[in-house]
Amino acid sequence: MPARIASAPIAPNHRILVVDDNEDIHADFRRILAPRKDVSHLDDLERALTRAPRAAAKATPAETVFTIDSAFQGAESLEMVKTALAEGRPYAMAFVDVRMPPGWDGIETVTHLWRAYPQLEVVLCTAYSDYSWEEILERLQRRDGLVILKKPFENIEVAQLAHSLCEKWTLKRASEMRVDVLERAVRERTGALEEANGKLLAEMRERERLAVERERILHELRVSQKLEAVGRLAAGVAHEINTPMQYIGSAVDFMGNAVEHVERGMRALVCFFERVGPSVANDSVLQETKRALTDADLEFVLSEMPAAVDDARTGIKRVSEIVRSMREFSYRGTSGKEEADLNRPLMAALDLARNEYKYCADLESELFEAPPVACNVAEMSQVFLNLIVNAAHAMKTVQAQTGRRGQLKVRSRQEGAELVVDIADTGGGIPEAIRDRVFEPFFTTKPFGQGTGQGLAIARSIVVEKHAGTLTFDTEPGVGTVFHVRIPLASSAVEEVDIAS
Amino acid sequence: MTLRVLFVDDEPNLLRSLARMIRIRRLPWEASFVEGGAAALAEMEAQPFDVVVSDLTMPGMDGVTLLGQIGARWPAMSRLMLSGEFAVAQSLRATRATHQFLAKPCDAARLEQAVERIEWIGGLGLSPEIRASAARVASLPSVPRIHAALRDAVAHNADFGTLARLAETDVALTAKLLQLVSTPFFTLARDVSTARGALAVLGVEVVQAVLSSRETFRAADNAAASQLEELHARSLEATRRVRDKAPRELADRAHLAAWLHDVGRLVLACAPPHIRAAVAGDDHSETRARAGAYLLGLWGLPDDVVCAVAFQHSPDTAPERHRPLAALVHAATRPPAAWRGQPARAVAGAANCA
Repeated sequence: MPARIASAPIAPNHRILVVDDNEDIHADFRRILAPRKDVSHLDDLERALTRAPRAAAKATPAETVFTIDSAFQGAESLEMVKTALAEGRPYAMAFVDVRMPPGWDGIETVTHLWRAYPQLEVVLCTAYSDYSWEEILERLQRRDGLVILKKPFENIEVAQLAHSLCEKWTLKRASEMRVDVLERAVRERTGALEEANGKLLAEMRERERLAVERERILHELRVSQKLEAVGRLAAGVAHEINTPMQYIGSAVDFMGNAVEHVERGMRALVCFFERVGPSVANDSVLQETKRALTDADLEFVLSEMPAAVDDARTGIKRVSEIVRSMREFSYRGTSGKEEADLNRPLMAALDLARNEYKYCADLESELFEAPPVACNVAEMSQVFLNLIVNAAHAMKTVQAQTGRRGQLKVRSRQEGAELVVDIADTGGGIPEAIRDRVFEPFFTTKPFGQGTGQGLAIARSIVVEKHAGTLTFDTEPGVGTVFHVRIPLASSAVEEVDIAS
Repeated sequence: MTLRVLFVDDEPNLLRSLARMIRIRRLPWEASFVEGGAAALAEMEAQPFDVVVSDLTMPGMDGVTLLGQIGARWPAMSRLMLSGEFAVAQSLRATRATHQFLAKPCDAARLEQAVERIEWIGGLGLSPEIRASAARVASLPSVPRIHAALRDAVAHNADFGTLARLAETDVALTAKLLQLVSTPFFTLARDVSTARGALAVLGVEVVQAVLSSRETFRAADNAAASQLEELHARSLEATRRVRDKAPRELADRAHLAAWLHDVGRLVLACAPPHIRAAVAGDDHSETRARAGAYLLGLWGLPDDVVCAVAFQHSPDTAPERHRPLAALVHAATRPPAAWRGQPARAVAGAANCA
């Protein structure tokens, strides 16, 4: 759409300033430029007498009415120009005498006037003896807007200059305004284009952000669906799995003990055979028995059985731990939230986990007197417990390697509309390669049998799904890890998320 | 006397493997194995048992029903539940019929420990009547004032802090909550030794259910209120004294043992009048201590706490590894000079014992 170019017409300006130290000169200018009232009066009289039509009597152009102001010194003229400009009725032109003791001379005055109002048309009235033309131009550094009138001047010169220069001023303003309007129109259109461009860029960025956000939410959803499914499955089959695990366990335990019995019995028999055999049995029976004993590889079997039984026991323990912790996911949503001080589950967790950290680290806690948040105290205790136990294990590992005692820093604070709990350890940090995976179920770095890989997944599930919060971490290898639990403060902002209904 | 243990499950494989395990470990029990509740009741009618270990989910009669019937007919029997399930609701339902829970799969050592603890508390020298009345207790009488305040708090959906502040001032409720967290349903409960910690582990919903049910939480008769208040004041004083003396590694357990040291009075308050009368007075303080320990042992509280309560009057005779804790409780609970010579009153008149 083309921008509309609006231009208000420029009103003709006939305001003239005469700057001269000589009163008479002012009177001359007035006489030359003022409307010839008395003359028209005489004309009227004449017309009345002769009954001739007025316009046809003299073919002069329509009279222009000049407004003529007087200044007697340069400084005074500057003030008047400034005032006129401030009042929105600038002078179109000025007649400036060159010689104006005791103040500024004409040239200096013009310099000042132009500085205040560059658009002013100037007629510099001079006798050639004052300055050479070259000197004048050199001092003013400008030729446009300047006419030099050599004294003594003719009245018609003054009148024509007044007419021409006032018209010139008006035309220049009109053309300036057109340029101005055009420029504004261009600016407006450029602005509109830039705005459209900016909007487009912002939209593209927003789309990119949404795509990333969408991907993140989908990922979260997949993880939580996975967790939920795991939980339901575990709750449903816990009994089905644990009952056979019980009798597998008891059977393995039996075999572990039975091995010792068998070994004792076997050794007694072998001993008997070696001592008594040769005297009572013939050679072929002896050879056959020896071969059978060798084939049975008894030494290996008997020495490996206990280790095999231990492996089986570890496996059983691990399966039942996994079933139990998987079940934790389906437990979510069955218990409600309350308005509680988040420091309480934190304290409870510190209490419960004390045995984990007290031998490998010193505790430093800085708890913020927090407003209550909507939370499930038992679940949040578990979150903090898992994080504290992980922190303790990380520091235990460092302690085992370096003998250095760690520092467990627990801090709660308010950040905007969230309550933040930081749990910081001085453990080995989380290697970059696995940072993306630590919240995945079944992911663990702990030695076989020491963790089910559910701790952080459970913590994440509780914080994110149940409490609409976030669980993040900062980690630096060799320095330690800080986990940040963020829970929104406003209870109204927290929707009950029932994933196990 | 050999401990007689009855195992009940609907899975023959499980029973056979348990039988083999017990046999080869030469556990000194006279163990029997039956499939299902009806068979269990028939077996019990045929011969006496000291301990029953039952599955929860069984076709026909389930574990809770079976243990409930056993509790009603053979009250002195110790009732254990061995279950592979982790449903909080079920565990709450089961708690009135069950003294202790064991999680499947339960290894031999844990099973042995649980049954031997029962054998051990059986050897504390209590009469069968006292043992039976302790085994019958589903909940101990709480201080009426605290009971009313907690009920009110539950009715008004009080927050965790309010519940915890009240719960930790009641001996009966502390014992009950610790029994509940010692079940394998609450995986967090590794080292809980305070009512507050137990509440945090159980969660508000479970706690509300516990506090709302008469079977788990009830007030003593008003007639017994002042004596109960006195008992609580003494127990609180004991925890204060033990705090100054206990080394750091024993602090939590010493606090718990001191707080629960007089729980025997609450146990005996639930006994029939003639038994109460028989063990009233200073001469029977040891019996009262052991009655308390018996209940705590039956409920599966930590062994050292059970021991310290049992031997609070004679720590030198306690099993050696629990002697330091027993000595701490002993020192913290000796009455100040001003109290000596006055007959300690038993908590009487709590006629509404479960």
